[in-house]
This record gives sequence, structure tokens and C-alpha cells, in this order.
Amino acid sequence: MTLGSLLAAVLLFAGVIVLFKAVRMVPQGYEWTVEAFGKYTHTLTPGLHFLVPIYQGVGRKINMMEQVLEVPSQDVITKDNAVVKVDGIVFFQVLDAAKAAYEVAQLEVAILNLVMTNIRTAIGSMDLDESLSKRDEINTKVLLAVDAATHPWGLKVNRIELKDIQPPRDLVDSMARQMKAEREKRANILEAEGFRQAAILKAEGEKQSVILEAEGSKEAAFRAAEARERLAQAEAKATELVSTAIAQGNVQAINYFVAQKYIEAFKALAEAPNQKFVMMPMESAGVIGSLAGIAELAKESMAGQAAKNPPPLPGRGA
Amino acid sequence: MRWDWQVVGWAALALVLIAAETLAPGAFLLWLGLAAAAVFVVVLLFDVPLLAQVALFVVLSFISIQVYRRWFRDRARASDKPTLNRRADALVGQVVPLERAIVQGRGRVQIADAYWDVAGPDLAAGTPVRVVATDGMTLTVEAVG
Repeated sequence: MTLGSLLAAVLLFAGVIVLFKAVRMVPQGYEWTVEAFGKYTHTLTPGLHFLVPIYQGVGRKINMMEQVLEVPSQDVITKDNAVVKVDGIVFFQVLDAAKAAYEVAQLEVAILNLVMTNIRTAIGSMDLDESLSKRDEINTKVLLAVDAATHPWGLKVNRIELKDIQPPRDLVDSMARQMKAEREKRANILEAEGFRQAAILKAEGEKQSVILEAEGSKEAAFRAAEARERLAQAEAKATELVSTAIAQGNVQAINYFVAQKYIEAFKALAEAPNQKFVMMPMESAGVIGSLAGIAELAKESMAGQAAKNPPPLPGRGA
Repeated sequence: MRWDWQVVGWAALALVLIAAETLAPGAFLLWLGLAAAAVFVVVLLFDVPLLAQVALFVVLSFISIQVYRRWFRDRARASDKPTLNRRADALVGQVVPLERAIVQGRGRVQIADAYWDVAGPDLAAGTPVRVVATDGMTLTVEAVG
């Protein structure tokens, strides 16, 4: 091999290496920084680029796509001294490749530490109950803090999400017990309320029925009194009629009624099937007297009649 | 006209480089291949020393790539998504309510889940603003209407 061909081989080798260093193709989704003798000059966007060989070189290759970082699980103490395990995820995107390349070393470690400390701050200012129920609020709080802090690094933190907030086992158990007791309390109260309502309704019904009954007997008494009043009126009227009749006629007329009643009563006594022995009242003589009164009445009326128009002759009367 | 190992070598190199381009597309092994093909033609027609052949190949490679950059890239089809991977630029033209009032030229809006710092004239919170420009991190806004 001649010296000429050796030189040719070296030239070929060097030429190809320089060419590969000078012609750079940046893929979509990335941006590469360019350094001229170690100093940042500009950023290459996706596409084919030609660098001045030797003088310029590619520095950092920055991923411009949105990226996800897992925040590892960590113990956090709440305001009321409960220790909870918290983990999460961060979505971020580089907006300024140069800043992300040179303003911060170990970008991802920096983001993770920022997020973890901010989660601790946010949850540390809340009670356990609050931190469990206000996850959105914590997310927003941490997001705003981390976003502001990462601005100098050319980053946009789009979203921070707490994946899991896990209280210790025994605390979870007592929370479950508390919930169960709460529900049982509600059930018992509802049941008691039901019984009370039922008892009240029942008593009310009984009261109503007693009132109605009393009202009924009151009405009945009123009607009975009215009936007695009417009866008394009727009797008074009858008595009045009789007395006017007597006043116009003879006093002896009354004896007619009494004797009639007497005889009716005797008839009833005599007809009674098991009555063989009849006691006569002491005033039987009085009764007989009244009979005598009737006879006298009859005599008188007959005499009166005879005086007005003489009795018809026997055998010729109608 | 001659057919010796140099001529055949350049022809082979040209074919291998062009074939390699199809395996690992980077739009620039192709230009090395074209340079090799040109050297092959020169060597086939003229008697050139080996050193000159290699020098010619290296120079032609640079030239072909530069020609590609100057000539073809200007005619290349533009991206139909020019704001790809440029989150802030993609927001230009959007109208959003101010989440925090602009005080002394700085405020904040919420777009999707992210909060963006905005710069613009002092406005009260809730005022709808239009994004007119961006410097990558901060959105420049103006009041709508």
C-alpha cells in the first residue's frame, strides 16, 4: 500500500466523521441545543440542519413532548398528626429547550423533589378528613406552586394528580366503624320515630272515638228529654181538656175515668194465668164509692135529659 | 474507459449508501451515495489518483448536502401542524376569561388544566381576553372587543 492510498483512507475516514457531525437531523418532538466551542448559541428545531464542522456541535437533546413522572410514595403528616402515604403523577412539558438544558441540572430529580415537598406542605396544613376530601384543592395548590417554581427552567407543569392518599390501617378501620355506627344511629332514630308516630295516631283515634260516643249519648239524652217534655205537654193538654170538660159538665165525670181504669186493672189481674188469689186494696170501699158516684152521675144526667125532653115511652123508642 | 477495482469500488459504495438510506432514513446518506456515484462516473471517464478521488468524494458530499438544503428544502412540503410540540404557540387566537386580574401587566389564565402567566393591560379577573402572542412561557393578551 502506497503512502498516497493511506492518506486517501485517512481523508475518507475524517471526511465522513466530519460530515456526520455537521449534518444533523432533529426528529419531531425534540429540540437540540447548539454549542460553539462549548457556548450555547441557538436551538435546532425538528428537521435537517447543517452545522459548521468542528466550530459548532450539538449540546443537549431535549424532549419537547409532554412527559409523565411518577411521584414515589412518601409518608406525610397531616395537621392532626395522622401519617398518610401519598403518591402521585406529574405531567410537564419543556417549552424552552435552552433553559431546560442549562438552567437546571438533573431536571427530573428537581421536579420530583419540588412536587414532593409541595405535597407535604399542602397536606401538612390540612386535617386528615380535609386532605382526604379536598384532593382537587391540594392538586391545584401544588400545581400552582410547582408551576411557578419551574418557570425559570423553561417548563410548563400542566397537571399534578395525587393518585393515592392512604391513611394507616387502624385509622381506616375506625373510620369504617364510625360510618357504620352513624348509619345504625340513623336507623334506630327512624325506627323510634315510627313507633312514636304510630302510638300518637292510635291515641288520637281512641280519643276521637270516645268523643263521638259521648256526643252520641248527649244527643240521645237531649232527644229523650225533649220526648219527655212533649209527653208532659200532651198530658197537660189532656188534663186541661178533661178539666174543662169537667168544669163545663159535672165533677162526677172524673169518676168515670177512674172507675174505667180500675175495672181494667181488675180485669188484667183476673186474667193473669197464675193469679188465683186477689188482694183487694184497702180503699176498695172508695172504689165502690166511686161506682156509687157513677150511679149518681147517671141518675143526674138522666134526670137532666128527662127534664129537657121526656124519655120516650117504652116500646116506642128507637 | 476502464474497469478496475477503484471504479467498481465507487459504484459499490454508491449503491450501498443509497440502499442504507432506505434502511435508516435520514435524508443524508442518500447525498453521500450521490457523491460516490459522481466520483464513480469521474473515475470511469478519467484517470484520477486515489487521493484526489477521495477528496472529490468528501467535497462532493458536502456540496450535495448544501445543495439539498438550499434547493430542495425551500420547496419541501410545509407541516400541516406547524405548532406541533409548541404548546404556547398553539394557544394564539384563543379567547379565555382571566383567572386572576392583570395587575402591573402580569396575570394568570387557566387553559385546559394548566395555568399560564399572561402579560397585557391591567384588567379585572373574569374579563375575556384573546391570546395574541407568546414568548414560549408567557402569553401576551388583549381585551376582547
